[in-house]
Amino acid sequence: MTEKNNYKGWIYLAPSLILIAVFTLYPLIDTFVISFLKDYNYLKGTSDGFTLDNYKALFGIIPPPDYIAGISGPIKAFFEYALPNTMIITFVTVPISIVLALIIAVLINSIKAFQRFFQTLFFTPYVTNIIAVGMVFGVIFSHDGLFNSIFNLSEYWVEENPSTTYWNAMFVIFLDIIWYQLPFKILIFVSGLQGIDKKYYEAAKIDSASRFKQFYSITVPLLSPQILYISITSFINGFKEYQAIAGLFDGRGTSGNSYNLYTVVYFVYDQVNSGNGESVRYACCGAVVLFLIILVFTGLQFFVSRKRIYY
Amino acid sequence: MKLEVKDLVKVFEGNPKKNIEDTIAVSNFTLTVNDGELVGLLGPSGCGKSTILYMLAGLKEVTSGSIYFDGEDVTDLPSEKRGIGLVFQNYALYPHLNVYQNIAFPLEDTYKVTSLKSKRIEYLDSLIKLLNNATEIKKLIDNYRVNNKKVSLEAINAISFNYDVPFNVSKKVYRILKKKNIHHIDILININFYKELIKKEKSKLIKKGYTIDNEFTILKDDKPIQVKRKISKEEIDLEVLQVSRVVQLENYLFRKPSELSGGQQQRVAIARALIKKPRLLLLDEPLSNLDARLRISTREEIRRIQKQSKVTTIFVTHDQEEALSICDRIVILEKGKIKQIDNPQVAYDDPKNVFVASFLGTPPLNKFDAKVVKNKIFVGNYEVFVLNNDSLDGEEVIFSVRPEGLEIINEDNNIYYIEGTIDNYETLGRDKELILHNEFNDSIKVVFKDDLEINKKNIKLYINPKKVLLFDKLTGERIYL
Amino acid sequence: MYQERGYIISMEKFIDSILYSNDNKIEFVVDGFNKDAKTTEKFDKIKKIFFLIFAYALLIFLAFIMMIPFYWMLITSLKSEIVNGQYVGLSNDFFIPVNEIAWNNYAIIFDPSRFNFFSYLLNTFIVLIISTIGTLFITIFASFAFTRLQFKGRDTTFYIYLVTMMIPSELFVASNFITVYRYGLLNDRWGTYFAIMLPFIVNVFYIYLLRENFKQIPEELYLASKVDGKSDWKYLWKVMVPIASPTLITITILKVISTWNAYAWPKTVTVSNSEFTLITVGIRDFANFDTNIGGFLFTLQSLQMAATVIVTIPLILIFIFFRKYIMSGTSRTGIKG
Repeated sequence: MTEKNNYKGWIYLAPSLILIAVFTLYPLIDTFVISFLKDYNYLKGTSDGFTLDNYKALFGIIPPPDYIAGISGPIKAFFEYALPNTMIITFVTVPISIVLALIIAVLINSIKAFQRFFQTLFFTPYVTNIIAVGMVFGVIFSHDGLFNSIFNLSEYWVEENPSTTYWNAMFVIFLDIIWYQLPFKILIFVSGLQGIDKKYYEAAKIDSASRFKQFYSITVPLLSPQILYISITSFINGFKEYQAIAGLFDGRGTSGNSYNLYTVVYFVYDQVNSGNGESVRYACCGAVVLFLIILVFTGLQFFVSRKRIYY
Repeated sequence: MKLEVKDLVKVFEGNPKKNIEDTIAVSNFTLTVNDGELVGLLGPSGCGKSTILYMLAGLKEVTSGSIYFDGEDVTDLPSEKRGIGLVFQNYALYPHLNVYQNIAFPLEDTYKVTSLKSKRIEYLDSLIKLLNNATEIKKLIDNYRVNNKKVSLEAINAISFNYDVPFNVSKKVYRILKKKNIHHIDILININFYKELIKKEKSKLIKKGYTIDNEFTILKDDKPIQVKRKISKEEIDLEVLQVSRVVQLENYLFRKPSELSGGQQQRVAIARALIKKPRLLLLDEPLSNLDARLRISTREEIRRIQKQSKVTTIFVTHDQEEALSICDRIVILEKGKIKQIDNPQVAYDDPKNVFVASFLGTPPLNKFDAKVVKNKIFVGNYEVFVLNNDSLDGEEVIFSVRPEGLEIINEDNNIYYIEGTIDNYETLGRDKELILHNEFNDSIKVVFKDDLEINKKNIKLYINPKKVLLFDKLTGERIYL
Repeated sequence: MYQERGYIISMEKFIDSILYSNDNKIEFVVDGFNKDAKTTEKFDKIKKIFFLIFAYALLIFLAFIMMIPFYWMLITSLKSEIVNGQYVGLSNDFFIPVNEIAWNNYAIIFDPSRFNFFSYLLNTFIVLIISTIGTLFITIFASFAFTRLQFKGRDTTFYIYLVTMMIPSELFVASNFITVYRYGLLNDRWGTYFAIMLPFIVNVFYIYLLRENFKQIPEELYLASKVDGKSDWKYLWKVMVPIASPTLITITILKVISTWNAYAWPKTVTVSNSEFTLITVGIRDFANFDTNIGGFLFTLQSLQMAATVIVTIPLILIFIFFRKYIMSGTSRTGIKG
């Protein structure tokens, strides 16, 4: 019978619905609310009305409340370090890794022998553990490490040492992230390339178009859905970068107790992890800012690409 | 089983918000099907025939009207309680199950009330019976050994089919007999061993105060004990063996549906529908996914299976040839309404209305708008027919002739003719078909047997008055001559 | 609301267009010049060979770079930094003689006083098993409801699910932490396990993936099983789940990998009870690689690398055995984890 088994549907949905309500929908509202609460302390569960002070403190407009011991450093660090770092990391690693992945995917797609082998090889880093990978990069880029010895350098890259410069550390972060981000992109591009009808290339061959011409007048336009998809997801992932840095640097930053390698998500987790009941509201502010950044960028990309995507 | 359907109506509700009106899919469908009869529901697509079938199956709700199975009202009974078997157009076999599991699927987890039997003794007894035929079975196994490398499964299958035993028995027997050099004495030892086991089992039962009869039914105070229990694996085996023998799938039980041809898949679907011994078998366009050659052999097969199992059957199709060839009676539907219910030959020879007349028969019949003047029928200026009386004077009618009723050579000295211009000439196997047109009909079809040489473009078509059918122009109803 | 739904529908279509992007319907013209056919052919052949040599060379070079971290991890884990009780540091040799292989490094990292390997491993396995089973059941139930069952608000609910997929999970961290803290989950072992698991047990993408698979199962199979007297529940487990088993295997593997690699949230939840944390947090934050040599503390990188090898090996094994599932699943997965 085409009965409407109403209650049954909800019973089957109940487990996921309850968990989504508790751990996704409720926090969505709760985070926004907390970010506007004055003097909210989750340990005590107390607050003092609504305010914009949390955001002001986050962006350095007003100093954070000085009666919270040990908190002033990190809060300032959001505007000073976390936000610019996140932007730099995203805008450096995303374009480079997309272009690199596209090149590797086209190379893989253009060969016949060992195609599967290379496809698998380039995908392997995907399943590995970013924390473990970060630790390995830490060893390779240590002062006595492989990188210095190959290029005959005596730089300090990752150690907590006065000679470790900000850009040295960022360089390693870039490499680590690009290395880790490549496999997924290559996979998506290769499967996209394999879906392109060979007849387009045959037509191009008849017109004796050069390989490069084929690449930008056939491959890129026909791959545009994948390119859009990859660029949206990698921008989102870029803005959320945290674990690569946690894996690389066991401490906070490059020298002493500086926070100059903070990212937005790093900041959020640090505020939650601090165990300080007062700092969670700043974590919420940071998360809201992250959410808005992602929202704006994703919307922007959809908007810009609307006319350039063929699908 | 006798099926009675009374005033069945199905209305698909529209959506006033989206300006979709209600559609009447079936209106006042009334039909009686006798026990063991095969009735075809025939009509063009969208005539409501599948809707009727789904309502009979209990998969679609009935808007109004009622359905009786042997006098019992099943209109509101859920599908699984009606005792029906349903074969879908695309067979709907479970792709992950093999043929055996597909056929057995409806039986799993079904309960029945039976007298309690000793499964163990039954098992041992059939083992002994089979071992008494050891030489024969040994030959069977050796046969498979010669022809095939994968002996075991096929041999076990063959033992089960030949001796009607569940697979656990045939497996055990196969294991005993598969050795190349097995002596008669070994078999005797085995038989004696099993006889001992039966004795032990029996004495155990007797100790508890039970007795056991020849059918292995356990008796308490000489009365069988009634229990409600799940159907056992062995019982399922025997049912599957039986039904797969009917549909001739003995050698395919352990294959996946993807490894079968379309016709074999079809037979699996029928077997699955038959295994529960349904009161009513419903076939929804069962042949439409088969190629032309297979279609003819499979429809014979369906007829055979239906006759053999004597199950009342409803067969839905849009293909008149199928319906005409195997159905006891056909129901011709148009837009949810019954146009005629009759024996196929009667419906063809004696259609009740213009829809039935033009739907049945290939090539279809030729229709001309005509006018009656006194007792004469005119198509344009051609006088084509003379009626017995003047009762139709001045009426507009549809004058129609079957393709075989138009003759190019006037052997029977027919008086009336109509002229046409030849467009095309087709060969339909043994018959030839000529397609013509004139100002009254764009596509006149004429069928004839012998080769003809026609040089002219315009020819006369003589009308055989015995093949003339007359219909009312407004209602489409037949006007009997 | 209408606008939002429009966006989601287009997002769904968009994902579909990536998953099934074979039907790019676009025509275009490539202009070029006509050369003498024979010379062109010869020229083309030479060009092609050069390109292939170039392609293989570049691929091998890049593959080599991609593989270096794995190799370096393995080789470093077998190097010795202490010779005759003296700290000598790591060599940057690409090979080490067989007799100098320091297997002992692996023995050291299993020493509970330095790194409570078994305890972290046990935590990880418990969380892994329970959360994977939980995720599978929840995904199956939700996908079943979204495909087979008819009820009011079904499609709206599905769109809400899809919307939650677009929100970064970092937005929920603070609030979820307060939730698990407030309900006392962080006070004991099992509470902590569930605090680690619960927020990530529902994965909308898995539901989306399975729903797509369920939708491909023809309606007739359901009707057939209805006629055969099977309940929805039976139909789900006897027909839908076996048919969708490849997708379920993919989901299982992706879930196992993401749990094994989880770092940020488990770290947050176990900040005050580090003994309940998972392996990835363990090797980064709680393994003690500092060694006292002659009164000085040295961080032994060979031990670090031995620990990362141990964490990486199961992943590589899973990858070797389930490569097909992982790659086919990931190419449809989109966002990690």
